[in-house]
Amino acid sequence: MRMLKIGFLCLLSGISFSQQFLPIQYDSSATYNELIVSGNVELSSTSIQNQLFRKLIYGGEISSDQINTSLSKHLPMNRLGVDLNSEVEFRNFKANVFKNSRWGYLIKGGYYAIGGVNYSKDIFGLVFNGNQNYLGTKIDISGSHFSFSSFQKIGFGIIDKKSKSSISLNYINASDNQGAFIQKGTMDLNEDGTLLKLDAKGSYRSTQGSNFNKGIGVGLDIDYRFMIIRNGVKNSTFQFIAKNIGIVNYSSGLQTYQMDSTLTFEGFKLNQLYGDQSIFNDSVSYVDSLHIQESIENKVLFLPVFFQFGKIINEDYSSKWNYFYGIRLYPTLAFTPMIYLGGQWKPNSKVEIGSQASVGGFSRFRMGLYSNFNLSNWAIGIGSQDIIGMISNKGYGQSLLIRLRCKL
Amino acid sequence: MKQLVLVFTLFILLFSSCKKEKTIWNSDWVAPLVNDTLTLDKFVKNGSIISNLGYYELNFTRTLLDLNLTEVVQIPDTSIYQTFTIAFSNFVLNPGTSFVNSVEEHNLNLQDVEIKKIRLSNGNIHVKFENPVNTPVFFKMQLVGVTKNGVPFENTFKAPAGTQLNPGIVEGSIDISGYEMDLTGITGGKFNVLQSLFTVTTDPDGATTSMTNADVTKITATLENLKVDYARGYFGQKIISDTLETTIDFLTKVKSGLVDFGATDLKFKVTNGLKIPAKAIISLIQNKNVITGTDVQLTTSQSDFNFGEAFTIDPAKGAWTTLVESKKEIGFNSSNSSIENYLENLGATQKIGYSIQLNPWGNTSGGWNELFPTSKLKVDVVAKMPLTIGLDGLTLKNTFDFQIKQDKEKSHIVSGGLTLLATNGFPISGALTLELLDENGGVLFTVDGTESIASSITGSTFSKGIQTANSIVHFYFTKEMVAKISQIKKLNVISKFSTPNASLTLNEPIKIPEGAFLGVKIKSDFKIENRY
Repeated sequence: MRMLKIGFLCLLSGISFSQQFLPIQYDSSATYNELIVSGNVELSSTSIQNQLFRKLIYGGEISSDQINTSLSKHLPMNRLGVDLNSEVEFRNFKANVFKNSRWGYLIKGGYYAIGGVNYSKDIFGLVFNGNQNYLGTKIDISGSHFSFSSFQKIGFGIIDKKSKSSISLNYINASDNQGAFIQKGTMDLNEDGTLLKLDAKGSYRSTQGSNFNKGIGVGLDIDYRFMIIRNGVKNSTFQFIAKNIGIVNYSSGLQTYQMDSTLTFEGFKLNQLYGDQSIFNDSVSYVDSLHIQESIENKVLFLPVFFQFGKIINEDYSSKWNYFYGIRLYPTLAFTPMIYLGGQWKPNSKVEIGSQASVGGFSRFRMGLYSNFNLSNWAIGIGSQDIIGMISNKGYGQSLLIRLRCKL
Repeated sequence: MKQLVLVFTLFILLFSSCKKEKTIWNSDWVAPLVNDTLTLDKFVKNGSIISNLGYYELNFTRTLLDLNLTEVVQIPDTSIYQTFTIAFSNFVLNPGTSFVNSVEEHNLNLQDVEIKKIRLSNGNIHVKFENPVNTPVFFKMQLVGVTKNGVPFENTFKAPAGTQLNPGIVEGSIDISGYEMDLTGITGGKFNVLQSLFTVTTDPDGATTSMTNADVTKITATLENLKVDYARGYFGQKIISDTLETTIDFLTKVKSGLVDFGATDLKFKVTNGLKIPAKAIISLIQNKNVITGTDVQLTTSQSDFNFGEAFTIDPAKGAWTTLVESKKEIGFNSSNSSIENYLENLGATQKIGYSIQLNPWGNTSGGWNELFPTSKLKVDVVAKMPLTIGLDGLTLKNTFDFQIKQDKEKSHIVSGGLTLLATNGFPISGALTLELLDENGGVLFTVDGTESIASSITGSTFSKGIQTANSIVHFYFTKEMVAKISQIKKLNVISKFSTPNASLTLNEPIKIPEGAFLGVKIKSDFKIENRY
């Protein structure tokens, strides 16, 4: 029976996602073991509406009206991000690690894929409309950058039975890493389309091949919780999370392209179009003229580290109303610091319903909604950080969060 | 473990099933393709075209024949072989003992050419000496009558000691360029004769040894790669004849239309720098239009020249720096020949038959034909006339390889076109058509330009001091054409040129102004269906 229960939870982990985005219920009295399965699928943008987003993800024909509508929503610089993860964590509060009665242990593992793009409005217009609309104007893509990585981890850590603070050391298997940065990038096509000027400095890197393991690494996850005592009364519990503090050595090599060139192209000479000296017989030299340097390097890169600090909800708090707030950031991604604030209503001991508002991250202002159901040894939470995005084409992303907690 | 497999299976199914179909959108792209200016500057620089009173003139010279001295006098590689033996059964050789043979004559095989004197611009002698005695010997080779700046030719080699069975061998090569050779022999009255004298001396520092009448000392000298830059003698009655055939590539592209040349003047200039009398015959000048198949032979009516009849080429006069070439000109113009018809046939293949005989009357100079380093027998064709051309629908076709592979399941072109922006400074209009061909050359589609490139004569703008006309010509490729773009393997560019007058009522010969140019810019404009 116990194995069945674990198996069911593991199964759910395939369709459920990570824990840090749902408000944590802090149960200071817990002395039982816990199995937590959590998951998160998060797609969000500052400027791309769902009507376009869905077609990019699920397929379909994008009309020029949809493109132009979305283009009009764009700011000079925009963000777009994806965060997919699922994690299983077992917490043993009965064991005494290092014979210390306060220390239990945890074992966890999961899959993580996260990426973000910071891009200019002109890049969007160029990709989706082409350059015809830009005749006689300068397209500026400077400052755009992109980063994506996917990895799996399995870790072991120590947990403080009282505060539920924990620290774990994780083995990382990296399966993909890509990144690009355009330090300087302008493209200028004259009004009659006969003169192209390109000024670009940037780089792109990517893992190679289709093998599952492209690098190994080590990372540290920290979950530190503490309580504020005001007037001698335990008042609020705060949590600081730092995840994926670590590095990966991409031992199979990263294909790297670097470009730093200024190019003016007015077209080929007629005698370059035919005969032995034809450009069609000498394509390599024209690629070379862009001064793109290609190399394969073994590189050690940081994991996409995650930080969150905020007040969490204390499960044994007696009031029906509670609140939470905090700040969240991915410093290595195109993710601006996200500030969130929410409230929770607990009509009875089995149900919690909450809502939150957030600003920042990969998107702009968003409203979220969640609910938790506590059923004896089970706690099931489901929610979305972007409720508008879940129901409307006018939203700027989609978000689904699920967390299951089982007392064993 | 089973649960783990299940988890991953569901996970993969979940994410792989997210993408139901391809994401598709259209984008419009413009890119410059060609930017060039066509001028006649290349021909101006090489002198083929000159400017006169603000207009271009043709000043074309092409060498048909360039016969130089090395082709008239050719000396084959020649070997000299000599041996030494003594009459005694045993002869003691003290150190420093010499024995000398007499001057030997060697005949150079020059057939009917009788050379008395030459100077070599290039050549060498490869020598090989074989010594049968068991002390080192010195071989001295002298070529009698061969001098350089008055110094006789002489070379000495040292061969190591040897035996009858294993002679001591020494080999070497001597550069003889710059040497003059008197080939009149010992008596001075012969020709083609080279004289040699060999001396063998035992090593003065060597040991005393003996030599028998069975010991044979061998000398081989081979004259190789001889080139002369001066020759005197009688050079025979050599006949040089050929039929030159040449193809003018540009004219192979002419498919139809008419050309009207203005006043034409074509000359054949024969220049003789050889002190040899000669007779020549130009048997025919003929061209063939590769499209119509029409052969046109040039005809003329002149008192001192006719096709197929011999004419005399006088020998040059003087010597060395005072050498004066003899010259003969045969002119073809509109009044004495069919030159206009000949040129207007636009024959891509040109055929010229000729024959030249040296010394047609035999050795009438007493063996005193002479060739100097600068001596040449040249035949040039020279055309000098105003570049005034009338074109009436002259149609050229250029074929280019073309290949674009498209996969409709990936991002691909769906429609578009090319736009040509022309600034024309030539008084020539051009209508352009593209033919899109399959791999067998069959025409799949024909795309006409939306308008012609206008003649400068109709223009109202000036650029670089030249009256110009600006034109924008579009070529539109429909979706049907683009759908079959993978089948297109070649592209014909068909250009139809005319020279309209200012009122556009008639095509007539028009002068090409100095500095005329055609500025061409081509850009592509394509709609791409993006798929991923």
